[in-house]
Amino acid sequence: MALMIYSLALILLSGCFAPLLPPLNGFASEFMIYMSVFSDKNPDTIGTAILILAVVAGLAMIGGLAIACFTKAFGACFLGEPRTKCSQQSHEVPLGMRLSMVTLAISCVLLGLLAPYVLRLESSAIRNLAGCDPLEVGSAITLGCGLLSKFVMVSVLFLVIVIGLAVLRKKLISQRSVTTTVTWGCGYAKPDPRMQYTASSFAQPLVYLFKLLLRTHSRFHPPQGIFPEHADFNSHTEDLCQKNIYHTIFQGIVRTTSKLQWFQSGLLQLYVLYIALILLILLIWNNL
Amino acid sequence: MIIASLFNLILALVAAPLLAGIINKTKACFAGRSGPSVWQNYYDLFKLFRKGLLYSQTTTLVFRIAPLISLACVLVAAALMPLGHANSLIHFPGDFIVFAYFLGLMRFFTVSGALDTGSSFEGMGASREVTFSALAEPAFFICLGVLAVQTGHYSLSGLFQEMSTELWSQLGPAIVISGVAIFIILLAENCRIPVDDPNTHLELTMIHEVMVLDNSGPDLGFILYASALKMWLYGSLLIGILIPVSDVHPLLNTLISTAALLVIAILVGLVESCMARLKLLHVPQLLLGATALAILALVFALR
Repeated sequence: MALMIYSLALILLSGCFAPLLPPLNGFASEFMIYMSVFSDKNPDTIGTAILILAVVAGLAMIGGLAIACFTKAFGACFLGEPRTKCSQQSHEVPLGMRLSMVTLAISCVLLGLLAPYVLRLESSAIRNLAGCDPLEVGSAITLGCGLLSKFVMVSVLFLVIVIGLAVLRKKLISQRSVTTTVTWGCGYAKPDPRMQYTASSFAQPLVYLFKLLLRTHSRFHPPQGIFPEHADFNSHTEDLCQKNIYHTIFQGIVRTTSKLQWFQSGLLQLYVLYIALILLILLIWNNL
Repeated sequence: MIIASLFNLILALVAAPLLAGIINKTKACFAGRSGPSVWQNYYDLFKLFRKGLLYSQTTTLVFRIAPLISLACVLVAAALMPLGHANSLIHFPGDFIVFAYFLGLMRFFTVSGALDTGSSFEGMGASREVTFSALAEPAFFICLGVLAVQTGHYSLSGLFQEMSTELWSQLGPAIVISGVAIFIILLAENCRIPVDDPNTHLELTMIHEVMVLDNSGPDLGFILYASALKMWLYGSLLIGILIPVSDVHPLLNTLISTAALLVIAILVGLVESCMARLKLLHVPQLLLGATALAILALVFALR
């Protein structure tokens, strides 16, 4: 596990990108959404106020939940002790696979740091898509670029501070000992990877809060008797969208199309007949 | 003006650990103890910076960089947060969004660092941290969004400067309610009672303290300093909204604001002395309460 430094660094970066955290490109876009909501000219009507409230509270909540989600995924897959036999044997992927991911990661960083420039590059596309006064769009883009350049300034400051602190820390520990030991386990003598927090226990408080919506199934066989031999617990939260939306739609499509199955017999002669029939219909259509 | 901003930033960097000292002193006075000195945090920090490091063999790069990145995030946030009506060092429309998201980045790294140790205690704390902060975030954004939209200033500096007595007469209820909501967020984000108890060292009940159990030496120093600074920043946010100081001498502004920050520290101490930590299952109710207050502030602010 410790050898997979490239994968670890890449997934860490993507973990910051996905919840739209600074200083990467995701945040630059989200920042623009926030500012466009706030720049509404007449925020006094109740309609716009509710809209602003919904967008801002929604984005903030999504941001918070996304951090929860990606720390869970990142933590359960990449951090701590390997939890299964398979993950003990994990190893770094070949150079080609790493290279493509590194390219994407570098683009994320660059798109974040060059955000004002990128927005300016897109200005003609935005002008065409916006469908309003080009002059107004132009001034909005200038405003956006101004805001983004300030954000880039903050990001650069952040990177400088990180480097500064890294140097300081190196200096602080240069004369001191750096030792390794086991993770502190409250005095427990035989820690085991299975005792680690799992992804489902990590998510439990949030899942509990949304239990009305998520409907987690759990199965619990408590230990019984004085010398219990067996006990187990497992919980499963189904993907709501997959179950209720995609599954329903695709099942519907499958049901409808299966009724047309007699049409597809697999006999070439019949297919030629279909073509001939269609041609005939089209010819008649044309002469009507 | 820039000298005033720089001075306020340096003041924040120097005086931030004092707030926790004052909170502890208040609690000690309330309990009839003499308590540790208000400078205790400084002694702790100096001690930690002179120590060596102890790492768990489970940890990776993530655990090592997490304290660094956390402190860097708070330092950037400090550059964005004004004190009173003086401008912050960096200010632009929407800076409060950048402020909140850098603190989000800090949370991401603290939580990842905690999960990196493979300790179930730390996993527990990390899990609570992401849950509670996801609930606190909407309240923060609604409060600041309401005030920003009503005043027409989208930077923290502009917003704080707008807080005059006239605005209080127009938007008084909305400002007070936002203040209460932000005070709740301050308590939650800084791991104070009633959300978290910084004094217990019982792993099963802690949130923030338990996430940094395996950190030591300068790394732990960075984390403690970062949380002290975070407290100062949230305090500054609260007084910036609540105190209508406008057009006074920069030095007087700094003095008034610092005094107000100390009052907030005493207030936090009083809250901690008067009540116990909530049951963990009730914390979401408190945070949703803060969100409800924020929405109420929006209703009052509608004209």
